[in-house]
Amino acid sequence: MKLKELRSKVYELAKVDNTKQLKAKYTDFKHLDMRFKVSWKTALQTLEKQGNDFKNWLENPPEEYKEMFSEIQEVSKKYDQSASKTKHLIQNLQSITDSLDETAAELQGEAAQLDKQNKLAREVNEQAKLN
Amino acid sequence: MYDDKALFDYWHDRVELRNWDLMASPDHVQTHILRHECTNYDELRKSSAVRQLDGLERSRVITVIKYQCTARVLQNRARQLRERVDQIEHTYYEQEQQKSKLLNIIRALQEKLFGKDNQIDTLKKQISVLKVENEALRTDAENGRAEAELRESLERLQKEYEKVQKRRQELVQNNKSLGGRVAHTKRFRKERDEARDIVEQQKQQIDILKKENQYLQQENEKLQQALK
Repeated sequence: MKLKELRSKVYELAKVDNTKQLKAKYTDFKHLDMRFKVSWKTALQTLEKQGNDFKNWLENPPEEYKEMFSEIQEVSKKYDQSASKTKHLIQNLQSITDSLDETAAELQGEAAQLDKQNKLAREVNEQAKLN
Repeated sequence: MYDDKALFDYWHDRVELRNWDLMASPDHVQTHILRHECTNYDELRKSSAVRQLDGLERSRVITVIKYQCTARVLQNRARQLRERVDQIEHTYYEQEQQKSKLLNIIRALQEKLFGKDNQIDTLKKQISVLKVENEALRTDAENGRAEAELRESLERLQKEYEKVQKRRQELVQNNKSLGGRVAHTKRFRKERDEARDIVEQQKQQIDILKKENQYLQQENEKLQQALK
């Protein structure tokens, strides 16, 4: 891997923008000389290991956190479910509004149509009278 | 008078909306109330332009006005509805954003928690190592203290010994000088006693000699008497 690639991976994993922030966030890296590629490799390996450890820990949390963590997941899932319901309802409302608009427009059209028919009928009527 | 479209457009433009609060009411409002309360339907219907028309034409125009007013007010109500829906949609996206922010914060907290837990483990290990070291040091310190105490008491004893020793020497010195005097006195006494003895002996000799002398005198007297 090129140094540039290594560096951007490290920054991404550590969620930092520069070496100073990296060293401030991870005291383990304090002794690393970031002018060398090998230091970046070490940093990347450490971060990847930490990431994996964290993932495992999160999946199998210690007894004292187990309930809380699963509750977080549960609540988040329920939130997503009700959010998608809300989204669906919003879509419904939007289409109802659209049709309402259309109805109003059609109403006008129908009125015009009706008027036209009225007028025709009247003309026919008047013609008949004249006849 | 007008062709159809022009007639409709004409009256459409004449419609005025009012009473916006009622139009925006979230409750159900009947259409005829909306038409009467929220538009100038009644005014248009009774306007001189309408009144001038003959019966048939007038009813035709009134119908057009009625439709226009109803349509306008309905359109407006639909627009209100759309605005609310848009607001809800906006709120919905905001909530989604906030939710994902919250989840990110929770995850960051969990990551921190994970770090702290690891730190605690490391520190616990360090503590147990330090405890052992501390125990060893404590024992050493205790030993040291015991040694120091011993040394101290030894020094004290030594000092006491030195003091005693010094006193002893003083006494020895004293004794020596006293001893000299004693010897002298003794010698003196001895000489005195000897002298006394000699005096006594001489006294006794003198007594004996005196007695002999007396005896001899008596004998002498006897002999003299005998001679007489």
